[in-house]
Amino acid sequence: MPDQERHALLEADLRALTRELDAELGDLDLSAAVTRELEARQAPVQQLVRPRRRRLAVALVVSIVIAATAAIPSARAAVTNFLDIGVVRVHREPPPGPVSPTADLQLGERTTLADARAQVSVVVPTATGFRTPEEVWFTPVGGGGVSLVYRARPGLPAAEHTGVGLLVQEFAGETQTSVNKFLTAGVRAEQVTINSDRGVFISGGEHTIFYNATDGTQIQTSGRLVGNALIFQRGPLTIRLEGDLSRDRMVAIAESLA
Amino acid sequence: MEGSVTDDAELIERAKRGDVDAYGELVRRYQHDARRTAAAIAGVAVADDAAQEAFVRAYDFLHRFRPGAPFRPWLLTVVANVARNHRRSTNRWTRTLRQSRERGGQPLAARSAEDEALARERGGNLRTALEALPVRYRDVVSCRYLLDLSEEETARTLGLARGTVKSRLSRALDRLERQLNREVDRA
Repeated sequence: MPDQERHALLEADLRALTRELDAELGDLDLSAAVTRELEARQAPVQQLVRPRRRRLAVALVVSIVIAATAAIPSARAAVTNFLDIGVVRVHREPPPGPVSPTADLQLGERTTLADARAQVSVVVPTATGFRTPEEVWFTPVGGGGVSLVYRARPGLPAAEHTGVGLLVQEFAGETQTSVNKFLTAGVRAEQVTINSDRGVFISGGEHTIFYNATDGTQIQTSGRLVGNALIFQRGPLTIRLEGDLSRDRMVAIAESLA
Repeated sequence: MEGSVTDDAELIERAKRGDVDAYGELVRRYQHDARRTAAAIAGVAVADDAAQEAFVRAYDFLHRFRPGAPFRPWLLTVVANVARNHRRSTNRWTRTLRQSRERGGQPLAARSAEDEALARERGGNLRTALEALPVRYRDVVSCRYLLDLSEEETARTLGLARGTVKSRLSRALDRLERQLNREVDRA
């Protein structure tokens, strides 16, 4: 019997599976997400830092180095105020407690995106490959915080201190201090803009991070080391991205949050 | 839905000059095929991510696209490559198929309860058999039947010779038949 005839029923059944596939896929328009990503990439790097702000950023980096070596209290205060973003306070001084390079990420309780959204406002990157976080965590620290975890994969290397490709953390509340970052010598801090929001990109070395309890007291006895990080404020959310990624890529991912 | 070659060519030229909106129109035109291709190769769970990534990658490679050639098979080649990378890194195809099978799949059409039960069982068995196929056979079957691509398009999409597509299809269908017959004998 010829192949075509022999397999006719099987071929018909296989084609019928297409309807199942379509039903599972549903309707979705990818064009907005694709064009937004392309537009973000096409934006010249210079636009990420406004000219006036760029001069400030250069001065800032110089100030940080000076502050680190001279440890002048007044200069340190000026720098830290400038770097503070939302619920994140950046300190140019030694961390207050022991630091563990392998500390647990302390992201809170594992949850789902839907459950997290039921408790606090959550935005998710629409950039390619980041629309679906592999893990979602919730913590009541501050006004409530959500962490989106993306595992390492080709093109998204595992960060040394987290072991994951990208960590996106979102904290509610604009002024209540709940995250403290302590910079060490050699760490570079650049001011950037994410769409129209002010942010800081920290790179070039290790810094440490401590969390506060809702009453303002520190809840961790040891901090953890951090690599490259981008912090910015969008409305009531303070958003922090952490991973072994370049500034431009982190900004592009941050700009796609929706 | 296949857009006319002329329209596509104009949009592609504009996109090459940096017109992102023109490229957005190409995305709208071919996203259904792209998502289907990604789903067939890497699984429904990662289809949208893979399709979106493929569109961005295709934009980067537009300068390599031969003017006048049909856009769809060229695009689907990019989608297939991205989807295969996703499959390698996540191995979600198996999980997705299994989950879908456990849900019993969607009803194929209005039928009697008995017909529907039989169809669902046959569909479930077929999915199981498809899942068990080696990747080289599964990709060809997916492109040819789930995506309804011609042999020529399947060959272009997967970067294979047409003869290879033909022979792999034949072997794949034989394997599926044998597997399904085993399922029937077991029942």
